Amino acid sequence: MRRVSRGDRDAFAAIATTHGPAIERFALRLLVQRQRAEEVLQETLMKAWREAARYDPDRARLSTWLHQIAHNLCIDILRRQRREQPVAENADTIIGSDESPESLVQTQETQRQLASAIGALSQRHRTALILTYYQSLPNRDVAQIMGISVRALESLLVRARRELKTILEEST
Amino acid sequence: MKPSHSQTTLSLERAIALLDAYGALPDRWPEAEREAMLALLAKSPELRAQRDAAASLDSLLDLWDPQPQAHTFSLPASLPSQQSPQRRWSTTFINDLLNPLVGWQRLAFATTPIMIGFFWGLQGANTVEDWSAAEFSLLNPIPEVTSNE
Repeated sequence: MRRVSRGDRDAFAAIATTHGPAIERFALRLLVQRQRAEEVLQETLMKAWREAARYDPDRARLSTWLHQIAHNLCIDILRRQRREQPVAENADTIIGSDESPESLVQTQETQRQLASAIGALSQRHRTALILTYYQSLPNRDVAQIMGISVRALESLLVRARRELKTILEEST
Repeated sequence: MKPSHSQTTLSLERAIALLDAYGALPDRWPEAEREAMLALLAKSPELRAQRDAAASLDSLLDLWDPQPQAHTFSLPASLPSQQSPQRRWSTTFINDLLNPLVGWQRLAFATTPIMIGFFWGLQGANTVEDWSAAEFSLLNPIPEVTSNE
């Protein structure tokens, strides 16, 4: 990041290549909208470029810092969307289609159910689950991104998983 | 040096709470409690049952793996200008005061209200007599002058 802060485009491109897919996947899971997720990735990287000199490696790992930027952007989008359309309704927009026709229907249905169930969680529960479970970030990093204590994070995770289990059991 | 959790015992309640929060995969458990958790799992059939329950939810969660687009991110031809590092306001303020070009101006600006207040206090603007006079004038207002045309 020191090189990036001095305007090194190659170093920035390397960071974008290394961390970009994880950031986009995070935004994709949180927003459940592919186009929005791409916008979040672009804006996260642009912000990282603009504010590279402000990044302090003693305070956060680069991955955590980028996730924090993306998280804030996602929260802004979710707040705007809350008035317009529930997240779960967008679930079918992120189903992939790289599988064989035999398994495609079953996979799509399962993924749609999962996406709907996760989308039905509250924003904080969803964020905690996605950052911890799917992004595999350490609990301290997730707590830092969400601005809460590790204990509070664990409490959110327990409730998120219980709620998710209930939703999935009811839907099957 | 703090003792690691692996050297301490983990309560069954805490172990169940970890499974409820992080799921069944040891890689997702807090690193500091991982060893103690594994040791307790080896000893406790109840905890293993809890882990199996957590694993069934994990296996469902693992099915959701949305893939980002292949193109992901392309570096724009012209990147925006970068910001300078953020300094603490206290550091900025002290540095400005020490600056020979503008320091004296800022110091004078900051201390002028203090000096005015100090001298005002020294003069003792309001005395007992002043208050008495003020009260008298309130109780005995000067009659309004009306014109008699």
